[in-house]
Amino acid sequence: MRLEHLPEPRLLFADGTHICPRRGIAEYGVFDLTQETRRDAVLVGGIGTANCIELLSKWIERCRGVIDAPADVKQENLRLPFCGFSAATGFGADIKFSSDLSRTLKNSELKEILAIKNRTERVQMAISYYYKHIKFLAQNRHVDVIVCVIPEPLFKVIATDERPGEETLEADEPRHEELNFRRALKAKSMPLGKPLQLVRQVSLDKTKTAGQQDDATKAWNFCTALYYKSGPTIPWKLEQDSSRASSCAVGISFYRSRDRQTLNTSLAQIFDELGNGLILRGTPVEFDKNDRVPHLSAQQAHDLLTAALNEYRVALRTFPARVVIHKSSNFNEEEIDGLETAARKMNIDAVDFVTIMDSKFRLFRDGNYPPYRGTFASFDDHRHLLYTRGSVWYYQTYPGLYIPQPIELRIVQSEESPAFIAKEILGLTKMNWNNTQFDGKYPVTLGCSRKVGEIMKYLTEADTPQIRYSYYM
Amino acid sequence: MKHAELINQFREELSALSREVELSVAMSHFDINKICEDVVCGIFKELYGLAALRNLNEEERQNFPGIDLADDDARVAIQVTSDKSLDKIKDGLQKIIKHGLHEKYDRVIFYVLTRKQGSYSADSLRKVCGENIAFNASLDVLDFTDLATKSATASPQSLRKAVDILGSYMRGCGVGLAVQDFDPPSEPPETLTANLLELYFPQTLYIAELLPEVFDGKKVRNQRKAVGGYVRNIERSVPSDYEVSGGRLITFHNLEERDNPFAFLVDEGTVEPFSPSDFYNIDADHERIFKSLLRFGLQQKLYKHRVLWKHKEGLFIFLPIRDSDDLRTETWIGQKKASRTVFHRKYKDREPDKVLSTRHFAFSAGFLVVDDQWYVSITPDWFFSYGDDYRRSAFGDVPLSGLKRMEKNRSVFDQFRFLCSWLNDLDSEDLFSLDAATTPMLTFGSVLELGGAPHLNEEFWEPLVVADDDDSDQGRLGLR
Repeated sequence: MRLEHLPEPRLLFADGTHICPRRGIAEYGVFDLTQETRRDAVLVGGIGTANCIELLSKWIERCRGVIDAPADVKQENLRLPFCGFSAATGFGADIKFSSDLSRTLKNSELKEILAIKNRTERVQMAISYYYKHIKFLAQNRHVDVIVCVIPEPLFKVIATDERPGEETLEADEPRHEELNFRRALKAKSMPLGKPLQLVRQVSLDKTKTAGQQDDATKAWNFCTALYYKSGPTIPWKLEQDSSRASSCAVGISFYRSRDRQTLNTSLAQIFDELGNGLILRGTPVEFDKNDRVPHLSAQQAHDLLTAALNEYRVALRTFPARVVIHKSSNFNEEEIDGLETAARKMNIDAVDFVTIMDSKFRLFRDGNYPPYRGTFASFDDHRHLLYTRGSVWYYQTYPGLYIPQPIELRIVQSEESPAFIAKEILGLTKMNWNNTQFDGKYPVTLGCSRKVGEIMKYLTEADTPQIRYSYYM
Repeated sequence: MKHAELINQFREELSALSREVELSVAMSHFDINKICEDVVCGIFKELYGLAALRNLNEEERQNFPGIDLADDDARVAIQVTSDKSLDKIKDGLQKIIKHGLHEKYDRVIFYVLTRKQGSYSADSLRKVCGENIAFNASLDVLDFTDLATKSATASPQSLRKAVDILGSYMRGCGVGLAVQDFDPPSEPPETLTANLLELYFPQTLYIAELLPEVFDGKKVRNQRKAVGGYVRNIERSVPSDYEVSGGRLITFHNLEERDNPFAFLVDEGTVEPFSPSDFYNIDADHERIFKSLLRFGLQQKLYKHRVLWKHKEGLFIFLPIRDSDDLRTETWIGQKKASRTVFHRKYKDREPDKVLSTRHFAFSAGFLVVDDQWYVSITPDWFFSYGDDYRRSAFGDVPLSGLKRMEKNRSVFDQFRFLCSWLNDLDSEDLFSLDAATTPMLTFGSVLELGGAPHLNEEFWEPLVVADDDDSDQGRLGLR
């Protein structure tokens, strides 16, 4: 058994590289500043009560300028001051919000929703009111992204709590047919073609600090997400080795219907050279009662990869030389056969198959801090352990709560070395534009799939899902 | 102590700067004096509390006469120089007086970038200063040794900032932008411990055909379950450390012995001894069956020691020694002798006959072969139960999450070491038990250690604190 430490992957920004999205944006500017066709203003629509809109307006105004890190901050690189969202700063674009881009939820409407006793009806009514305003803004105003502010009294009666504890690759298991306000609203609004950002009123209220992130961190996450959602914009991309042939990563995962009674449906995410994720829904798969793990038939595997690679070709006008497939469960022979056949038909030179799953294996240090992120242990050529969360030298701390759970990589078949595969995965953990802290647990190929599945399950077979991740995050 | 380390780091960086200035000056590269003005400005700001200190050559005009830095509020002026001579000090003081700066500043400091002289003639300096400036060379001519002394009394925050200023200068870029900030140094290497404990099992595996009546000619999906049902039906019992696959029973019990516990189930003429490696190396399916057999073997072993396997949760949980006990503790020897509570039943304060919570220390176990050596992976955990048969309590999720948030690497490592020690102690206990001679046992060896991890000196990092909530996502900002 061997141990090595993988260096922190570098991200590419407009004018330099860095390992940290926040520092990178602040010092070197968002990556797509290099692209002439980028938008230099982000038009934000807003929906909420009059009070919510006022708070949103003040918050956006604050985000235009520098927001200092907390005064007593110890880990300076973890709690970086926010650089400001303006044409003159790292984002290189202005953020625009005004009264004509906002729609007010009347207090009488709010009261009407709160008065409904039945939870399902209450959530549906809330969705209907917000949708009405989203539709108006999407169809009648120039907006790039719509922020829905949720007043606290409403939040308390419509929000569904997530399962507490650690992030996992497995989906939640609700006991009854799920109705989640956020997921249902995003799914319903998807055809309108404007991504949504949902925000709690309390998060915008300067006077409420208990249980809240510091303002600078809040601004980093809020603004980066808005920037990405506002259009075909790229805050950063992974630094690539130009001497290597082009390759793309495909994540395959599954989600279940809202009542969990029907079949698992497959989901593929394919990433173009910019790291932009395109999301595709596959077909429902048979669920073998003796096997907890869903599998694709050879034909389904073939069709899913073919569709994914065709999307890639449309985006880049070429096929990649290499495809690496990440799956959150073991591959069976049928799946490998179907995927390989699809790749061969498109003359793809190399296909690598990697299973990525939560691991029961651990490595302990003799101290309070866990091993470093990037710690990579190989049991043999096929089975490996990778710490994607752990102590971070750059942050000078372990920025997590529970002791970190490494991920296990099972390399079924690959033309590349295990360390190369692991480095690639470590890099893909930094490609979630919904989060500006760089130590994500899962590669984006699988890490976002749970969140995508959560919304996708609200779409009917007849609905055409959006392919950009911004509609699901 | 981190503060002491910061002082050392500060002194070393300053000393390195001083050497660099010396070399540059020797090579007639005087630009370094200019560059150092900003470094010195930042350091004096932090260590001497001169909050309004500024670089006059940048803010007022180039080659400001006599002084380089000034804090108008504190009325302090500083000249930064690589020339340590008395003439340089005299010349500087003359310029200050000539330009009337002594009226604006009460104190003038000369900071020598290299190393100052041992002493300066007080008489010569008094002649230059006259009544204009109160100048004391022993207090007002400073070099890096004086700053190092001053650093010993600085607050940790100020010292940290001063070190960062020096670091930024030496690296040529701001803190957080240097390559050295990205990855930990590889030297000296550190050793990590895997949660893998060596596992030993008997050297012979026995496989035999089951008698036809066991399945009664039917096709059975879960064959082991069917064998269990058959055994119960005929009111017999068997040990649980066996597996069934393809109509054959697989166990470490010697099936060639006439009085083996499975004799009534298997066809005597079909018994075959196998080397375990010949079995598990056949293919992935055989390895899976072998791992399953190891799990049943572990269940059998631990059950005798009041540790129960919870199949649905995939956990071994510690039970009380007697069901009526409310507490179970186990002693073990790590770095010193210690005891650990592995079962605790608590009652409500107001209703002392009603159980408030029942907490079990628990662990999951997996099996893995690395380089022909088998290991059991042990992951410590907790389990909250209710009822007499220790069913999982749905109310346990909240305290479980709270408990796990409190745990650090060291506490979980200690739990792992406790389990290894406890399992190894079982071996010696079992060795002298009555059925040791007839029961094939799983035994344990050492834990697996791996060298070559980058060093992490925790003394220099802040102590880990329990955070109040997860801030790694947008959870608190947006709705989930």
